Order: sequence, then C-alpha cells, then structure tokens
Amino acid sequence: MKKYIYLMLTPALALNAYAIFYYAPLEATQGIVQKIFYVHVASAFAMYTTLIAGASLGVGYLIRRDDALDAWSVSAMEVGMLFCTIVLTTGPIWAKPMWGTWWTWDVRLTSTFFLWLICAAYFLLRKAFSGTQAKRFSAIMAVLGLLDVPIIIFAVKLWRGAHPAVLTDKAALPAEMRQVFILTIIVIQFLAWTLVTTRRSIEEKRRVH
Amino acid sequence: MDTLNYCIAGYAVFAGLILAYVLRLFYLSRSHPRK
Repeated sequence: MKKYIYLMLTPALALNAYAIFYYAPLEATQGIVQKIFYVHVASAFAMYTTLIAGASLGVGYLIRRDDALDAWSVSAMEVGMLFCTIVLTTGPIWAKPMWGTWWTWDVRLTSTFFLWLICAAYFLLRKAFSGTQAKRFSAIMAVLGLLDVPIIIFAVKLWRGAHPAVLTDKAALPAEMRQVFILTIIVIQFLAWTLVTTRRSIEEKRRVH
Repeated sequence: MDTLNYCIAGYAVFAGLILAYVLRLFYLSRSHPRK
C-alpha cells in the first residue's frame, strides 16, 4: 500500500509543477516570481494542518499517556517544522523583488518566526529530557505553538501589515490560477501527510527495538 | 525576466528542503534503534 502511495506522489508532483509553470498564466505586474505564491501558500497550509494535528495529538498524549499518540505527535511536529522552514525561506525570496527587502517585522512574519522558534524549543526539550518527561514537556510546548496559529491566521486582518491576505477576495484570483492553487494545496497536503505517516512508522519501529 | 532567478531560488529551496528531509527519513530508518 505504502509503495503505491509513493508511486502516486511522483506523478502528482510532476503534474503540479507542469500546472504551475505551463498552465497557470503569468501575473501581469509581478511576472514569473509570482509562481512562488503557489508553493509558499500551500506550504503554509501544510504547516497549519500538521502543527495543529501535532499539538492536538500532544494534548491527547497529556490526557491518555498513550505512546502511540506521542509517536504521531512528534512526526506531525517534525513535518510541520519542515513546512514552517519552507514558508520562512520562500517568503523572503518572494518578498525581496516585490517589497525590496528580504524581511520586515510585520505581525504575520514575526508570529510565523515565533512558531518556528516554538518548534525548535519542542525538539530541544525532547533532546534535553528523556522518557515521559521529554514527551510531557514537549507536548506542553506544542500547545503553545497551537496558540500562536490563530495569531498568524488573523494577523493580516487584525493588524494591517505588509503581508497580503490570501483568502479575503476570491474573485481576485483568475480561474486558471485558482485551479492551480487548489491543486497545489491538495498535492502538498498529500506530500506532507505521506511524510508524517512515513516518519511515524519509523518512530514506531525505533521504539519497539 | 529580472525575477526569474528569485523564482528558481524559491523552488530550489523548496525541493532542497524536502529532499533533505527525505534523506533524514532514509537515514533514520537505517540507523541503530534508540535504547
């Protein structure tokens, strides 16, 4: 089963790349750099889903003390941190030609960076402690990350900064761009959850031995 | 086409980070299990 999922992932990514570079039209003012939008925003969605799941599973671990929940939690948190890193690197690469600067201390950017630091703290706690202490303390840190997520999502609406809102005006995105955007979200979610399940099965094997 | 380099850099970073994580998973699956 796992083999078929991996086999499906490759053509899905290839089709997505084709859709981004050949099917989606070129944006009139930004030019080709606007293509970063698809992977940047879809990665942000993958970051939200994996980190929300990771923190929720951490809460589950705190309540039930079930090691299986911790294995799922650490896997989702790790993939979440990967996508957070992607968001924080592709963002500045897109910002430089558009805003003229790599970084600005806008609320959305700062709160996303704060989320990355929480993820780093999560893994530092797992290294610093051992056994149930590591699992318990890191789960508490994951909950702090969960509290930061709504700040990132609503930052654009609450405090008007440099970062644009993505899902406020649906009519702003032409049909072809919207189709490619939705396809990219689906493919990147598929990629993220394949990575989470693979990481979880490795974690389970490492714990059994 | 001034921004083409930024576009290439963005996608290279995405692909590089995903590939690095896949390599980490490969390494973890082959490394000695945790005590």
